[in-house]
Amino acid sequence: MTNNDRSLKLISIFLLGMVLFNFPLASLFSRDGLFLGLPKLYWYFFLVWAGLIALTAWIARSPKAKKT
Amino acid sequence: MPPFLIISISIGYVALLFLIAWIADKREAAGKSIVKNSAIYALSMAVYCTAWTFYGSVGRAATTGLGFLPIYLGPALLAPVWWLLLKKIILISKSQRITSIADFISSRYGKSTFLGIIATLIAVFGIIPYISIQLKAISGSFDLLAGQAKATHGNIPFYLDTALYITIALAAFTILFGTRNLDPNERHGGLVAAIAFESLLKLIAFLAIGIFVTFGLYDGFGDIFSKGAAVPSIKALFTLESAGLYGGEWFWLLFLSMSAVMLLPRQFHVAVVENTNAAHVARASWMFPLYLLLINIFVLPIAVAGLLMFPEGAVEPDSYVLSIPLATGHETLALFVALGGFSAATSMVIVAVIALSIMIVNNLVLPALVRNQDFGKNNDQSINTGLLGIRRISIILVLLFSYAYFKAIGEQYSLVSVGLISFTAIAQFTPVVLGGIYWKRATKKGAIWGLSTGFLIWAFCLPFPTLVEANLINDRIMQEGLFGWSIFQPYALFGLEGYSPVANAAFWSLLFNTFIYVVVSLNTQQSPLEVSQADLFVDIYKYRSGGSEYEVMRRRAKVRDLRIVMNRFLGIPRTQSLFTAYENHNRVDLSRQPVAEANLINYAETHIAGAIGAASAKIIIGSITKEDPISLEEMFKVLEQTKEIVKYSKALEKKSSELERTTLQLKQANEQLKELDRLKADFITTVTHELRTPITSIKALSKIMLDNKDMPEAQRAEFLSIVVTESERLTRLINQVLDLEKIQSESGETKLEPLDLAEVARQAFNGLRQLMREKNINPQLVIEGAPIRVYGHFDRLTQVVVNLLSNAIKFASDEQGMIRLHCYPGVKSAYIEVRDNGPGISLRDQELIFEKFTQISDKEKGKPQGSGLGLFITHTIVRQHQGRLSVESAPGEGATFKVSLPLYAEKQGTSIWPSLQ
Repeated sequence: MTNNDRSLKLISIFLLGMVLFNFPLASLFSRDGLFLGLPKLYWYFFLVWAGLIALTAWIARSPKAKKT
Repeated sequence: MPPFLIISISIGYVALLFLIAWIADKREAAGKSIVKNSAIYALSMAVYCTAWTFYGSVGRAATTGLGFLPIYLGPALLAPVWWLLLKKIILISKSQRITSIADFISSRYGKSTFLGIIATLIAVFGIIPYISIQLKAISGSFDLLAGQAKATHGNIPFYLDTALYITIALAAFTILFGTRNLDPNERHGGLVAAIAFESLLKLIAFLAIGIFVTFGLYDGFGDIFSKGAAVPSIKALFTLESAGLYGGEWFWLLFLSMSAVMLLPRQFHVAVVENTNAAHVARASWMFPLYLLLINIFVLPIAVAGLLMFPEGAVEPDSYVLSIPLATGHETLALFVALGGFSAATSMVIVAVIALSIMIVNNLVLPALVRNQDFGKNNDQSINTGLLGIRRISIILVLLFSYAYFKAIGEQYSLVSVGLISFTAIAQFTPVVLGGIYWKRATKKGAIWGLSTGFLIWAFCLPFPTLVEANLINDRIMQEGLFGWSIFQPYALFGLEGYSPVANAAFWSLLFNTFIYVVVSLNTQQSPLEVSQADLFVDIYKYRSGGSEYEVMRRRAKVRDLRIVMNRFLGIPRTQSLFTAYENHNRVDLSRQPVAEANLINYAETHIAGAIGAASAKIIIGSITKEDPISLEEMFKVLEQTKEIVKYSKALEKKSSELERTTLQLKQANEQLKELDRLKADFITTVTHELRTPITSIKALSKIMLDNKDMPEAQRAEFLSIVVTESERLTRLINQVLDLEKIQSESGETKLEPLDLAEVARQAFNGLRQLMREKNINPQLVIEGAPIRVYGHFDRLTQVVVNLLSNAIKFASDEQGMIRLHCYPGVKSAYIEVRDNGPGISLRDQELIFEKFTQISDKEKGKPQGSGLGLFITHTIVRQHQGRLSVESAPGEGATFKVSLPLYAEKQGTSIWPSLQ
C-alpha cells in the first residue's frame, strides 16, 4: 500500500464517519424502544464507532510500525 | 470521611506522580526512555478527557441523553486523518522548534509578534473558563467526600474556601512539574509519563464506577435501560430529538470537538510538542478513539442510574459519579473514583497551564523584553533563571484568574456548558491553522483580522452573557441587544433564533473569521519572510526530503555573538554541546570561523526558538545579525510576480527590434529614393537645358527669317539647314533620353541569351561602313577567334558597338580619318576595341566621359554634335552585361574604347549571372 493509497483510505474513513455520525443518518436510529435491552441509538453509535476504529487500525498499520 | 484523610491521600497521589516523573526522567537520561512509544503517546493524548468527561458527561447525559457524545465522536472521527494532518503539523513544528499553538500560528505568518500576542490572548481567555471547571470539579468532589455537599463557594470568604487552597496547591504542583528546568524543546518526558499514568488511572476509575453501577447496583445494561425506559423523562433521553438534539446543533458539537482535540493548547502540547516520533501518530489514530470509546460506554448507564436514584433533582447530575457510591455506602470506591476525577482534572490543569505559561512567556513577555536589547554584549548573567521566574508567575496568575472566574461565574453553570465556551474560543484557530498548512497565499494580515473578528464575536456571544448572569453587567442587553439594537443579542446574533448559544456563537464567529481571513489574504501581500515560512509550512515534505537547511535570509553574524546569545538562553553546557554537534555534523571548526554562515545562524535561531518561541528568537537573532537587503526568496517572489511582465517585455523588445530593423530598411530605401529623386531632378534639369539650346537656336533663326522677308536666298538656305540640323539634334536627344529610360527601366527583366559577339561587331560595323566612307574615314574591321560566345541581348550589344563607332566617327581626324574595330576573345572575357585617330581625350576628361550629358568641347571644332548621353547609355548597357567599358587615350593620339564582356561557358549555364542589375 503506497502512502497515497493509505491517505485516500484514511480520508475516506473520515468522510464515512462524517456521514454516519451526522443527521440525517443518525436520526434514522433515533427510535423509541430497546434492542436486546439497550437503546437502538446506543447500539448504533457504539457499533459504528468500534467499526471505524477497527478499520483505522487495519489501514493505519504500516510496515514501519510493525517493525517497531 | 474526614478531610484530613482526603488531603493525605491526595498528597500521596501527587507524590506518586512525582515518583513516576522522576523515574521517567532518569530512564530517559540513561537512554532507556519509557515514554518514547506510541501507547504512552496515545495515553498522553487522553489528557483530552478532563473532569468534564469524568463528571460532566454523566451530568450532560442526564439532561440530553446522547448529547454528551459528539464531544468524543468528533476527535474519533478526526483521528483517521491525523496521519495526514497531525503528522504534518508535527513535522513542521519539529523543523521549526515550535513550542505552542500560538508559536505555531505566529511562526507560520512570518514569525509575527503581533499575531503571537493575539493567539496567546485567545488561548488564555479561552482556557480560563475551562480551568475553572476543573477547580470546580476538584473542590466539589472534596466537598462531597467530606460531607459538605451543600457548601457554596461563592458566598464564603476566600480565605475559608477550600477551592482557593486547592488552586494554590495546583499552582505549586504545576510549577514543580513544568518549570524544573528550561528545556530547549519544551519536552518534559517525566510529565508525559505522569500524564499517561493519570489517563490510565482515570479510565480504570471510571470503568470501575461504571461496572459497579451496571453490574453491582443493577443487573447489567438491560436491567438499567429497561428500568429507565419505564420512566418517560428518562426514556426521552434514548432518542436524539426528544432530548432536544437536532442536526445543526449536533454538527457544531462535532466540529468544535474536532478543532479542540488538535488545537487546545494542552492537546497541541502533548500531541505535537511532546511527540518523540511522528510515526507514533499511526497507532495513536486508533488507540486514542478506542480510549474514548471505553471511557464513554458507561456514561449513559450511570446517568440513568443516577436519575433513577435521585429523581427529585436533589443531587446535581454532574456529581452522580460520586454521589451514587456515597449514597450506597461504598466510601472506598467513592474515594478511588474521586482519585480518578482528581487525576483527570490535575492532568488537564498541569498541561494546560504549562502550555499557557510557555505561550505567555514566549509570545507576550519576551518580545517586549528582548526588543531593543543588545544581546551581542558579553553578559555573564544567564537569562534562564529570569525566564523560569516569569513562567512561574504566569502559572500562578492563570490559576488565580481561573479561580476568580470559578468564584464569580462558574458555579452557576454545568461543567459541559462552560467547557464548550472554551472549545468555541479555540475553534477560532481552525481557519488560520488549516489555511496555514495547506494554503500558501494566506497572509499575516488575513490571519490577524480573521482571528480578531472571530475572537470578538465569541467574546460577545459566550463569556459576555455569563458576566451578565453573574450580575456584573446589566441584563437588559440580553433581551434588547447591544446599544439597544435587537440584532446584537448574544444568544441570537443577527436574529438567528432556534440554536443553542454555543451553536449560534460557533456559526457566526467561524463564518466571519474564515470569510475575513480569506478575503483579507487575497487582498494583501506577503512579506519575504511570510513567503518563505508559508512555503516551509505547506511544503514541509519537500524540505524534509531535501535534507538541507532552509535558508530564509542572507544573514551574517559573528560566531562569538551567537555563542554569547545561546549561552544566555540555553545555558553554557547545552550551548557547548550544540556547537560540538554542529561542528561534527558539518565537519567545520567554528573557532577558526569569525563569521557564521547562514546555516549556523538558522541552527542557533531554531534552538533558541525552542526555548523562547519563534517570534522572540527572531528578534534576538535579528539584534546580532545583519540582513542583506534583498533575500533570495524575495527575489524568487519578485521573479514569480514579474514573470509575466518579463515575458511581455521580451515580446515587446523583440517587436521593437523588428521595428528598428524595418525602420532602418525603410530609412535606407528612403535614402535611395531621395538619391534617385535628386538624380532624376538633376537629369531633368540637364535634359531640359540640353533641349533648350537647340530650340533657342531654331526659334532665333526662324524669327530672323520671318522678320527679314527679303533675306538673301543663300543666307536663308544656310539658316534653314541649321534649323534642320538643330531639329535633328533635338530628335536624337529625345530618342536617346527615351532609350535611356527604356534601358534603365528594363534592367531587371532584360532577357539574355547566348550569342556570337563577332556577329554583333560585324553587323554594327557594316551598318556604318557607308557613313564612314562618306566622311573619308578608312574603316578597318578585325575579328579573331569567331565565333565569340557571350551571354547578352543582341540589339543592346549592337547599340553599344554602334554608339562607340558613331563616337569614333565624330572625333576621327578629318583628313585620313581611320577607325579600327577589333573583336577578339581572351581567357575569360571577350573584347571589342574601337580606335580612332582623333584628337584624343585628356586624362581629366577620361574620368567624365561616362557621366550623363558630358560633352567634350573641342576648340577647333566647337561644340560637338550629340546629346552627351551616348557614352552613358553605352556604359549602362555594358554594366548590365556584367562587362566593363574603359578608355585609353592621350591628347593628339586618338582614343581607344575597350569593351570587355565575360565569355559564355556552356556548362555553367545561366548560373553565373542569375540576375543582372
